[in-house]
Amino acid sequence: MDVNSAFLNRVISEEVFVKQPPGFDTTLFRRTLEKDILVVQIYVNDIIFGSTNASLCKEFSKLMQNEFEMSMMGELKFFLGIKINHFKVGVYVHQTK
Amino acid sequence: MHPTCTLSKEDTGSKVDQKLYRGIIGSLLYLTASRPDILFNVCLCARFQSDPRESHLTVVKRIFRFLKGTTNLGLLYRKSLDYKLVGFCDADYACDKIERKSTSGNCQFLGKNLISWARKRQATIDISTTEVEYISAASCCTQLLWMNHQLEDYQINANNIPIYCDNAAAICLSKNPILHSRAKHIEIKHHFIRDYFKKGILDIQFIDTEHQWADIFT
Repeated sequence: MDVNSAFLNRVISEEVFVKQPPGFDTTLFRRTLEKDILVVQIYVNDIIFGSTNASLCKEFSKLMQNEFEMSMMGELKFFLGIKINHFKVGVYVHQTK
Repeated sequence: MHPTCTLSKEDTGSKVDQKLYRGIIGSLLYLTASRPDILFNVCLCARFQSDPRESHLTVVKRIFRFLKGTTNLGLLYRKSLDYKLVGFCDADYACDKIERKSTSGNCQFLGKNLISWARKRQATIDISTTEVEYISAASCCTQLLWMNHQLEDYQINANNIPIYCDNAAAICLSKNPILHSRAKHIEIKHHFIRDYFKKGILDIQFIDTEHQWADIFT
């Protein structure tokens, strides 16, 4: 998932400090619902997420798209210069251009 | 890098552009995120960033040639329900020819999948291979403990996480808290592994060099 014009989506009402307040550096979020987990990783304006339950993914994607202007990129293929291929046996991670 | 080739600081070879050299090392370090096989060579070349010479750049170019022929390599993460955390640690005694410092290398597996790897020159100069391996085990231990905390978030709890070490004396040192003349100088921070062994969180076991996966980092 990718946030369009990430910096324009936030209304700044408070004073802006050069240093980020504590507790804001976490970029990995986790939600547990009974036996299912949803994991969300944010890097600047790129978001990757995965879940043991497909409906949790859909719900998250819908929620985020309603709140911010962002586009859904589909299955994870490329993140931070690392390519990801999905196979039946597992996931193959490489940096081939 | 050729096995017989040893790199050292030199004054005679012609200087190369430091900015270029640092740039190359930076790119290669990022590449180690999916290519642990080049970690050894890249980390070695990274030591000469302060004064890179022609001989160092030649070795770096060799890494590039190796990469060109092996672009199809990457990491495969197999689907599995095996969440057993395992650590491997190895060390290279006094591999740094200039300061005579040793290097530790370690890697961690979750089930059969490699999830983390590291190589680091130790801060101290050591007197025995035992000491070097012991310090290496301690750094592997810190990484394993952190991973264990992360896994607890996913309701995966583990006890007796194995750390595989190929030095029997280092294993004895971690299990038997005796300070004899060969070991009493080791800094206290490296001894914390004993505590985790005693509590049953970690378990240090012997493995032969043949099956020591961390061997490629040292």
